[in-house]
Amino acid sequence: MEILLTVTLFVSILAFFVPKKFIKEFSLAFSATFFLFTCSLLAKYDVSKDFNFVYFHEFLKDLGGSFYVGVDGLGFSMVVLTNFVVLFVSLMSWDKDYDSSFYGLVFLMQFALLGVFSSMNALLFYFFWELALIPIYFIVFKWGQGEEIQKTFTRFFIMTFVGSLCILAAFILILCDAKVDSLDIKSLMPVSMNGEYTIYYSILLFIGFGVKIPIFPLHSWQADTYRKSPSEGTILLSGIMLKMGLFGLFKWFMPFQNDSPASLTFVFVILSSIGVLYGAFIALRRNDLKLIAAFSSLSHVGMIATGILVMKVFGFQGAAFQMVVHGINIVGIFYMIDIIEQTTGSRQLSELGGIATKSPTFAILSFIIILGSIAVPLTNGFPGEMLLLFSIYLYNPILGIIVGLSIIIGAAYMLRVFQLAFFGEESTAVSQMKPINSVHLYALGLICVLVLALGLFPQYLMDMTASTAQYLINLIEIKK
Amino acid sequence: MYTSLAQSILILPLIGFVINGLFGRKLGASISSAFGTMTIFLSFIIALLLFGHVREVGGFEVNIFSWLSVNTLQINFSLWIDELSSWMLLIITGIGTLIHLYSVGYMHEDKGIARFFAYLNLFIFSMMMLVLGSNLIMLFIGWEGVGLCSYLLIGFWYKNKDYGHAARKAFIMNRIGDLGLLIGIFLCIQHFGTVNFAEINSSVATGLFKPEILTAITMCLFIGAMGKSAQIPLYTWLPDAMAGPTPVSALIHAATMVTAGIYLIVRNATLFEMAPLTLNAIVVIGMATSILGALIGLFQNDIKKVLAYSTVSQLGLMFVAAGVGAYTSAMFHLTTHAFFKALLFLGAGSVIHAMSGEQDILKMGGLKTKIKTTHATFLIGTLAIIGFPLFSGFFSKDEILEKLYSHSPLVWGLALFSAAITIVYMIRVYVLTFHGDFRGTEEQRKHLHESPKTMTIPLLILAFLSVFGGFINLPTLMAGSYGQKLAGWYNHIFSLKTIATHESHLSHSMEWTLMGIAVMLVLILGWFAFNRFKKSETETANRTGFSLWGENKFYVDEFYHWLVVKPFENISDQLFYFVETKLIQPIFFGSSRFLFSVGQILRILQNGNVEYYLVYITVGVLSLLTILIFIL
Repeated sequence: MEILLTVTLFVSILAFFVPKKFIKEFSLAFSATFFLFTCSLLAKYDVSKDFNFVYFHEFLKDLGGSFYVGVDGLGFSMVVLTNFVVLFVSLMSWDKDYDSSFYGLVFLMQFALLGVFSSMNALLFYFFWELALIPIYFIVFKWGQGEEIQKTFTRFFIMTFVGSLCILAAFILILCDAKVDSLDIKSLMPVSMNGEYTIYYSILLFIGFGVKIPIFPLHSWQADTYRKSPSEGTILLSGIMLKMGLFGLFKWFMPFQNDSPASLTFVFVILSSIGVLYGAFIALRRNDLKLIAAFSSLSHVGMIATGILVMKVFGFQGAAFQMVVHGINIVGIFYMIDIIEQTTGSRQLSELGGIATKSPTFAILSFIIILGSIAVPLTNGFPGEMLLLFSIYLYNPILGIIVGLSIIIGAAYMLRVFQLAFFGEESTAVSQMKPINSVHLYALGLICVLVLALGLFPQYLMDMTASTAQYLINLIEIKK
Repeated sequence: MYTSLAQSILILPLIGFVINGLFGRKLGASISSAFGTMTIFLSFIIALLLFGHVREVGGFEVNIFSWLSVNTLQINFSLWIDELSSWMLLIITGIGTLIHLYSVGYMHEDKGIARFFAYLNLFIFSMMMLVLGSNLIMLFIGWEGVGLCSYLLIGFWYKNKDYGHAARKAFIMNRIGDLGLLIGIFLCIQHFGTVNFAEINSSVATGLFKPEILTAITMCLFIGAMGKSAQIPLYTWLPDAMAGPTPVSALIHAATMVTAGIYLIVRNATLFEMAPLTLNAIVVIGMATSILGALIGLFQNDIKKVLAYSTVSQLGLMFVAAGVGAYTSAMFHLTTHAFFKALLFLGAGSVIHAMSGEQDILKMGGLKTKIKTTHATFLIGTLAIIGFPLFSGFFSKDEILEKLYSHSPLVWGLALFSAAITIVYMIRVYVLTFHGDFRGTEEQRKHLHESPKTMTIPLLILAFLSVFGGFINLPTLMAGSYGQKLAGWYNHIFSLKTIATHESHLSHSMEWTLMGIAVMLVLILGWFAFNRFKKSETETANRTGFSLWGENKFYVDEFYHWLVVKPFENISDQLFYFVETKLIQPIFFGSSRFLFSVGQILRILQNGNVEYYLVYITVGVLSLLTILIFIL
């Protein structure tokens, strides 16, 4: 793990200085290598151990800090996902014109993300968490487009930054409360905290992670940021960056959440399930494809967050599974939107139509991705969503049914998108559509393979994350 | 051997789908259509072998792999082949083969023929998953799979916006039912700890479960069935689904997919038997749907729409039968209905083909001498559906009526009423299409022609089945218990619970009387309707009052639009333009002045030079750490 981190950091610094002529080949080669390397680690991963690829080095011991990295099943899945998303950033920008610094920032982002998912010390986690914000801010700011981008991205920055400060404050409170001298995950987790601060750090952590996820009503930065970012920035944000929030919820929030009162949990659950329907409803009628994808994402991650918060083993498993799946599918959706925008010059539904006649292959691939997103059985969206809904149902049957409505609305808005963009007669924009570079079709094809493979054989991924879910459940059981 | 046969019956259509989907266009129309048909025909042969095997040794399970296992929940990808599923297999692959064959002729000019066969193959695969699944999740996979294929095939001619809309409507309405089914599955997992049919059945048999729970489970499953089998209130998608090519209407929206709801109930008969409340609900909903469908069908002028409402109505009747515990009768009617309704739809397709795409029966007429085979087979289908004595529909409908009478004479009366309307609208369609003078354009008259052999052969085979299909389950009255082939076949799976409680207690004379009433009704009403419609062919130009309501489908679509679609759209807009833009954004970003000042400060830092940014990062992190040190 430490090797991967060092190499990524090195590559990111190197990328800043690679001449612009070779930068695409450079970034594609390295991102593909990273992805394949982590995939090859899958074989070495031992599911019977709680943590794999562990590395420990003493660092800032007085503050409870340490350079302590290693991954559990969930963390490792996220590491693979990170490298997957970065690979797709390289693919997506294949025929675009970006500076070397763009790729440098992407690799820096990758470094930070890998750090977040492998930190086993709260302080280190916070360091990487903050670090991740910086490159993405510059990526979206420098290469974003649209009116008032400064305002939009400043909002984004401020909100996420305030969120991060909440997390920092919460960790400090925990350190005071728990009376341990190390913030390492292993020494921290089993401690029961019934001190006076419990409610405070619960709320602080919820806000901190909630901004990133985002959870209703902390999502207000999301739609505009997604809309105005370059598509590469959008897939980094939606594909992997919001997983930081969910991951944090999983690893750094749930273990403490058990000690806080059930009524508080109930409030959290309600808030995140409001997001599920809120996002779905808004997506029903929007015209801008990116806006629809943004709100659909809000809806999907809301369900994942709810599934985590209800503290059931099915919810943990479903959430872990769905985090990976959502990462794959949302990258697919934004990729599809980017292709449409690049070739037709528009991403407004009212200006689209008839793409299926123009490019049947693209239509089929997009349809498979959409099926994954609306959780049709035998695509990857189904097993996770089923488990999540089941866990929410177990928590509260009425809430389960209400949240379940989103699978109906989800089908409605996604099929609307597909119908308006791909079916019907060709619109003016579409009739002048440029041919699609086959690199992009292969990239979409790879996503489709994953959509179908994980739908048909979900158990492989489930086994991976089972240990994390079980670990968390055991922790909760012990504390009770 | 039978294990691998069972697996290959699933794989064959899947191969057809993949080959046609990937290489169909390169193979050319004739090869891809022939290939698509062959895979289903081979599946039919295997289905026959499996059927024979089940007859000898009974049901068996084929476990393929473990699909999902989380904590205590274990879901296998496994098949359960017993009397019920092997019978359904025969219907699916048998009628499937005929309709594939028919499509070869029907779609031969369409550019997307390879895509069409790919979808059809995928549909057969999903439908087989549905009936073969040994647990609720497998069933659900097939269940949504057939819904997806139905979506794809309704919207097959994707350039037309209305068709696309109809396809979406079908998928979304089905999803409403699917949510119900999913909740039902959750309840099963929660209370039984398993989704396996056999295990659920044995759990239920212990009698340890509260009736409320069983009622809740069965109600949820029934909601799923309502969506798929187009029952009130989720029936409006089916008539719109007629936008798809006619073979699709015959296969998916008449013979197979829409009967999945009946299958679901029959498959879980043990569960439903323990929930009398749900059974009563099924009778009420089924009966209401049966009458409403028939009434609307009376006033439609589109030949396919009439048949669609007729399907809605007949499905209602099957639900009523299942609701009174006459599962065998429901399955019997399901089978004969698959024969004659597929026949009628394909016949209608042949008529539309001959009429160069015309579907309005007011613009047809006098076709009986022009397209003789189609006429003869359509007549047979009509006679079968109205229950003309000794045709297949007569036996199956009569069996249901008899069971209903012993349940409650009121239900019997209502069912008879529905059957009476069926007689009238079917005779109307038949007469307006085939008798009288030709009312189409000169252009159409010139083009009138009988369909090619690939289309007429399936018609003839289905006509044969529609005539003699009833002999699989003759009434005991006529042929003794020996005639009850189907009942004997199902005896094994329903023996536990139903036969004893629902055994008909009617005397023989009573049975004869009931049958006599039904026969008289068909003969008298049929004759009357025949003459009436022959005289006034175009009586429907200006409709008023009740019939106008009927022609507009009692405005149910408009009502749903007002009740659901509009409010949802409003909520969407309100949330976006008011809550999101006016409430949440301002609350979180304060006054614009504050933002502006922050922006000013940040602007100094943003000089676009990345090296500077890296310095900021380092300084920022270090200062944070310093602050930390001071705090602690």
